[in-house]
Amino acid sequence: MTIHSPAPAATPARTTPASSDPDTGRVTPMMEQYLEIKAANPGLLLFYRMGDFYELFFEDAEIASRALGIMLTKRGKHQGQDIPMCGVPVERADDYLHRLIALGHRVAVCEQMEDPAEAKKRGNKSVVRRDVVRLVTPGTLTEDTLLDARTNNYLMAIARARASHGEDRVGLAWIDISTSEFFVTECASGELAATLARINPNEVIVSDALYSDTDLSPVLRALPAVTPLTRDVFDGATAERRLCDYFAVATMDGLSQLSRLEATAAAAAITYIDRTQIGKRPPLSPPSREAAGTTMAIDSATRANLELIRTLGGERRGSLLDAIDSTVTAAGSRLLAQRLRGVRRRQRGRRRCAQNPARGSRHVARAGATFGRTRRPARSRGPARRHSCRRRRTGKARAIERSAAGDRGGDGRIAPSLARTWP
Amino acid sequence: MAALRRPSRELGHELARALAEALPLLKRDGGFVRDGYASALDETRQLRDASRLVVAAMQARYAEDTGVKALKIRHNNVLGYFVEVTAQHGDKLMSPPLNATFIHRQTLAGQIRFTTTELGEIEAKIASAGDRALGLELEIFDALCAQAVAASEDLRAAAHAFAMLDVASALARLAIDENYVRPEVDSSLSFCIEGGRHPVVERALKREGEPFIANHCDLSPAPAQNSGQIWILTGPNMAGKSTFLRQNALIALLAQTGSYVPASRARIGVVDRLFSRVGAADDLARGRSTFMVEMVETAAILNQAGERSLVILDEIGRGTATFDGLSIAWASIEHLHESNKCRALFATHYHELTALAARLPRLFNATVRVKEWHGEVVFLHEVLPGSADRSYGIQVAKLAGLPPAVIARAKTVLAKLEAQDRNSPTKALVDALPLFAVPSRAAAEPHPPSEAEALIGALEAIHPDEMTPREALEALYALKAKLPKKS
Repeated sequence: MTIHSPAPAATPARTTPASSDPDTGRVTPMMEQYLEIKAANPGLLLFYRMGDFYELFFEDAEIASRALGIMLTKRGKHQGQDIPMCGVPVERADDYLHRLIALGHRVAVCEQMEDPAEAKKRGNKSVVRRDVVRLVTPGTLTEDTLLDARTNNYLMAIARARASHGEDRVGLAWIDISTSEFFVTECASGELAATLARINPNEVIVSDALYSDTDLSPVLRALPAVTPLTRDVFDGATAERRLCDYFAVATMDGLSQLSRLEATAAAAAITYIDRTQIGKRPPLSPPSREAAGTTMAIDSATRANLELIRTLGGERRGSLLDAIDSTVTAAGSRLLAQRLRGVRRRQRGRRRCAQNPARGSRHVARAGATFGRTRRPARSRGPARRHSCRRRRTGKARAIERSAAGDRGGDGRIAPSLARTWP
Repeated sequence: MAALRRPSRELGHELARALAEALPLLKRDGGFVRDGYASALDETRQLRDASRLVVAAMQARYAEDTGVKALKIRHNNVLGYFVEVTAQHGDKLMSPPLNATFIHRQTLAGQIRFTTTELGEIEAKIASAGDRALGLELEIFDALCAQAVAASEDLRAAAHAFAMLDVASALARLAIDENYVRPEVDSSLSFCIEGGRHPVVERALKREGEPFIANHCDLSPAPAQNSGQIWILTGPNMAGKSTFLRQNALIALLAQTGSYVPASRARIGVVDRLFSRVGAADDLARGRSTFMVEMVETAAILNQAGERSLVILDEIGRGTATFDGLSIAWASIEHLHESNKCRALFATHYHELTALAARLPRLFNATVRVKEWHGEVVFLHEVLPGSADRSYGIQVAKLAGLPPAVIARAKTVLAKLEAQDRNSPTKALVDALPLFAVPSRAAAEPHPPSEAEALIGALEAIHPDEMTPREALEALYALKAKLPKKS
C-alpha cells in the first residue's frame, strides 16, 4: 500500500537493489528479504521479527533509537557500510509501539510465518518466511495498552465534491475499530474545521489531491496525523461495491442510506482498515448517519476555550468532562464524551432527565453503584478485539464470560489498563 | 433495555464452562481451558502429567540402581530431560555395567549429565502430549472466538445499552451529589438561569472547602421584545467575570446534552450555535498575533451568530491600543444588538461601554461586586445589576507581587491619566457619538489615591540598604515634598 507520510514519519526507504558487490561480499538472504518487505511498505517503520525481538534496520533503526531512547547497534554490512540496527523485545513491543504511534509514526509489523526448523529443512541458506501481518497506525488501534479506555479512537476519511457554484461539500466517515462504531455525515467545506474539532479524529485519511489543496491543507496540517492516499481509495464509482463487499450484502440500502459523498468517505475508511489489518476484517456496525444540523454548532476556538473535553493545556483534569464524569465503565465514559462533543440542537433534556434526580433515578443510581462494586469492565471494545484474536489479557476474557452469562458476582479482577476507570 | 437480554445465555455458560478460574496472560502457553470441559484435552493432559510422575519414579529407580543418592533427572531447553550426577559419581556411570544404560551427554565443572534410551522415549511422549494439549486448547480458543464473533452484534448492542445505563445513572448520581437540577429546554428564546454555578470551578473550590457563589443570569427577551438580551459585565480583574461567562455557556451545553445542570433553576430556549471568545494566545505557528486571533474569532461570531445563538465575549479589543479596542468593542456590541440579535454576555474593562445601555433597549449592565477595604479589594463574586467604576488593576497587580516601586509609580501614572482623561479631546469625541449620553459621570469618577497612600507607597519603594548617603538624603527631601501643602 502506498502511504505518503508527512515529515516526521517519513522514512526514505533504502531500496537500492540488493545486488552482489565484489568488494563487500554478497547481500545476505535475510537482508534481501528485509529490503523487499521494506520496499513494499514505504513510509512505515518496519518491525522485523527475529526470534524474541522485533528488529529495525537502517534509517528505521536510527529513527526508533532516537524516539525510544534505545541502543543503536549494528549488524553486518550492506554495500560496505555497517547496517545500523536496534530492536525491541516482543514481550514489551506494545509499549514501544505506543510511543512511536504517539509520536506520529506508522509501523508495519512483520512476523515469522513459519517455524525456523521448517526453513532449515529447505537448506542451510534459506531464510524463515516472513510477512507483514498488520500496519499499526494511530487510527486503527485495538489494543487496550495502546488506547485510552475512556476516549474513542477514530479513523476519519474525508472526501470532497467540487461544486460548480456555491460552496464545496465534504463527506466524512469516522470509525472506531476498537468499538465497531461507524458514523458518516456531510457538511459544507467551510464547516470542516468545526466538525473536525467536534469529532477529534486520531488519524485522518484524504486523497493526495485534498492533501495538497490550498483551501483545505491549512485545516488538515493542523491535525495530529494525516495520511494522504492514492485516488483509487476515494473513488466514488466503486464505493458502494466496496461497502457491500465489506458488510457482505448485495446493497447498502438495507443497512443505511448514504449520500454519494458519504459513501465515498465510508468506502475509503473501510478500504484503509482492510489494508492496515491485512485482510482481517474487524466487525463494524453499519454506518450510522448523522443528519446535518442536528448538533449544536460549536467552532473549534469555542470548544477549546470552554475546555469541554480537555483544558487549554491539553489535560483531561480540569475539563468539563472530568468534572461531570462519574460513570463507572470506560464505555460509559466514552459515551458521555461523545454526547458532550455532539451536543443536540433539539430538546433532548426532557426525555433524558427525570423530573427529580433524587427520586426518578434513584434506582438507576443504585444500579450504577452496583456497577461500581462489581467493577464490570467496559465491553464494547470486546468484539473487535475478539475478532482479531489479539486479546491477551485475563480480565477481558472474564469480561466476555461475565457479560454473556449475566453473571453479577465479580471477583474484582480487572484488566490492568481498564483499572484507570475506577479511581 | 431489551438489548441487554439479547446476547444468548448459551455463550456465557459456554465461556464459563470452558475457561479456567485463573487465566494466564498469554494464550501461547495454554492452561486456560478448564479441566473437564473437553475430554480429549483432559486425556492428553493426564498423559502429560502422568509422564511426569513416571519421570519421578524413574529418578528414584535410577538412584537405587546406581547407588548414587544425589542422582537427579532434570530438564532444560537444550538437552531436554537428562540424568545429572556430581562429578565424583560420573566415573561410576561411565564404566560397565552402568555405561550400557547411561549415555554420556555433557561434562560440566561440577556435574556430569547423561541420557538413557528409556528417558528419550518418555521425553518424546511428554513433548507430544504437551503439544497435543496445547493444540487442543488453541482449537478451543478459536472456536470460542468464533462463537463470540458470531454473537458480536448482540454483544455490541448489550454493551451499548450498558454504556447508556451507566451514563444515565452517572448523571443522576452527579445531580444528587452535586445538587444539580433538571433544566427546562424549550423552543423559546429564553435563557434564565437561577443560582448558576461553574461545574469545574465549583469542584475545585469544594476540594478546598470553599463555597461557590451562585449567580443569576437572565437573557430572556423582555415581554414586549422578541429577541434575547445582551449583558455588559464590568468589574475588576479576578472578580469572576470569566467564570460567570463560561458557567452560563456550560450550563446551556449541559442542558442540551441531556444532563442535569449546576443551578437552582434553568430554563433555556434551544441554542443552535454557541460562540465563545475568551482570552487567546498567540498563534505563532500560523503567524498570527494575539490580536489577530481575537479579531478572526470575533469576525466569525459577528458573521455567523443568529437569534438562536448564545455568544460569550470576554474582553474584546484588549489586544490593541485602548481607543482602537474600545471602538471595536463598541461597534461589535451595536452589531450584536441590531443585526445578530443573539443572546450574549459581554465582559469588558471599557467602562465607557456601559453607557450604551441607555441607547440600546435590549442591553443591560451587570457588575461583579467588590468591596474596597484599607486600599485592598475584597472580591464578593456576586453579579448584580449596575456597572463597575474601575478595574482595580493596580490592586490586583499588587496581589500578584509586582515590585512595590512599580506599584507606587503605576498609581501616580494612573492618577495623572485619569486627571487628563477628563479634559482630553478623545474623550470629547466619545461624548460626541450620536445618542451617547453620559450618565452621572461624576459619581463613577475614580478618585485619585489619597496622600497617605502615596506616602506609604513612596516609603515602601525606598530600600535604605541599597542607597548611598547622598541618595538617602535626596529621598528624604522627595518624601517631604510629597506632603500636602498646608494652605
